[in-house]
Amino acid sequence: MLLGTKVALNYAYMAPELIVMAGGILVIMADLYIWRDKKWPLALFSVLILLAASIDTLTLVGQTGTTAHGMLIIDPLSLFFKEAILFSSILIVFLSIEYMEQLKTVSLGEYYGLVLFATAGGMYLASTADLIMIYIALELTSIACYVCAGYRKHDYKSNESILKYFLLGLIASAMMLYGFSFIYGFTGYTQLADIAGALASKGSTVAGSANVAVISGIIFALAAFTFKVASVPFHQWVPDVYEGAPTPVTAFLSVMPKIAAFAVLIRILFIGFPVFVEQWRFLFIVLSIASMFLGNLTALVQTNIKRMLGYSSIAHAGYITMGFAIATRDAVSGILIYSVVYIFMNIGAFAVVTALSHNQDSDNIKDYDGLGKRSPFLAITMTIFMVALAGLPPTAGLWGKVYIFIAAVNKDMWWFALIGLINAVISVYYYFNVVRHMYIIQPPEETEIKTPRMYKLVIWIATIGTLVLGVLPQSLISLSQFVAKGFGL
Amino acid sequence: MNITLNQILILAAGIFSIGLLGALTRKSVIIVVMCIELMFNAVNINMLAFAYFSGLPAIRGQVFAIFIMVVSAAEMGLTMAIAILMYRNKGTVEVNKANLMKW
Repeated sequence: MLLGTKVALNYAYMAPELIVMAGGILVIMADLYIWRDKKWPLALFSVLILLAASIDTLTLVGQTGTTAHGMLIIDPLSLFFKEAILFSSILIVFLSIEYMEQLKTVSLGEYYGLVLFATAGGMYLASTADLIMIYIALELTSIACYVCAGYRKHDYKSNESILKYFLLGLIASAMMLYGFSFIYGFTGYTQLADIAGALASKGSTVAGSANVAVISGIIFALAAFTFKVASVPFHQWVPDVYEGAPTPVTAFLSVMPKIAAFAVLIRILFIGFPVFVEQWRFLFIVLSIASMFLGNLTALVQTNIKRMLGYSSIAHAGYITMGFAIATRDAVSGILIYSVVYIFMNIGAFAVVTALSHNQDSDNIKDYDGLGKRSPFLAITMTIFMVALAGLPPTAGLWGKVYIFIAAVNKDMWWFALIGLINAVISVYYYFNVVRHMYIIQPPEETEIKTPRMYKLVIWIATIGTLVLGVLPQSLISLSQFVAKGFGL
Repeated sequence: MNITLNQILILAAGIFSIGLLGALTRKSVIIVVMCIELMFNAVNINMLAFAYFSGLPAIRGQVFAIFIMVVSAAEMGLTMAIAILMYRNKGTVEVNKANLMKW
């Protein structure tokens, strides 16, 4: 593109992200000048911004197109993931209100601003197919998430969690960039569709040794994405960061960057590099099996519930990356179903953990002893989320796993589905260990635990979502099959 | 003497490896992040070399390098904030003192 050419911008396509970005700046300004003493209006303001953005995203349904020289893509996949990301951010803002009121020592307005910036980064990530934009969107999400993870700044655990997250995140993104430089260098393009075109046309600059360079570029680039989705080679940060970060932030980290990274992985693999499917399929088979076993086996021995959920999220990343290893259209729709289901069950579980740590400032599984007597509401909802995370009926967790396993069997990879099933069985042990603590072990004291209203709201939404999608999954399944059209091989 | 693309790529790979080695072995947070900056700058060298030597849309590599520099400046700001935070609470900026949470 020559300099001086008029840049065609379609503002309607860019509006949802622009609303969220502008909203983030407004929230920080409002924190300084308007609501200096009470901070809950800021949270409501952020929720309104996120709602406005999601309504604006809904108005784009049915359109497809690109703007800003292909930097931003509007298609069913990007709209689907944008809605999912916005929805999870709304839940997180509600979850944060009372928790952040407790932390008197820190300024709160920035927190909501940072959540909005991270959300905008996730939305950009879901709707771009250009290496430059992927990098910037990934860093926008990451930097905002780093700061959120260190938000309890007088708590040394939180400092440690931001330190580990930050340093490992930087190394991962340097590796991704090194990979991107090879992909750019040996194909000559930064847009995924052009890269695929250059790789497909034989006799161009790509031949023999150049292919090796591009494949090693893909491997380097996948490093950053395994970091973001918390799957095996770069999973070490997960338990420490999850334990040290403020609990609502942990819920945020475990959901939002993860599904945004899945969105961009779908694009990179199926639009950019379908030529090398055999190579990256092998890679994902190894990654997925390793993450499932490592996550599930290490979670068995954890005593802190946030660490346990951290390892379980590594295992869930393993189940979802199974979808990339299978790489059919059914598998892509399985990834989409799993992502949506995962939002409900994981945010729900973390909401219960937050509600309990509101009363007592510790997160050990031992603290759940006799929760069935002390707070029947928290106990029954936690049971539902644990059943869902284990993937049992009648909850939505079942359909996430079932659709990915069915896709594996249809692709003649029945052994892969079997490994997934074995892992689902292992995971039942540690999820039901929590249930055992809640209902069978006697509590040390029988004082009633009060749940603040905002936590109740989030827990109700997540419970209803988990159960309704569990009983009536048909609309989600047909939606995801529609969205997955055009992806998969 | 003409410099070829290969020579530049080898230089960048060397700098990248030195940065990675330093990031994995050094103790001070500041030096670790300096080493990670070396890794980013190796990527910049790569991008600019590819942009210069390939006849294709060369501007993209240069633009990419500029964006990498901007983002790593933002990350340096965050590094300083984290170092100050650690120093305040623990009196040290050594990464091996961040050992409260294990396994």
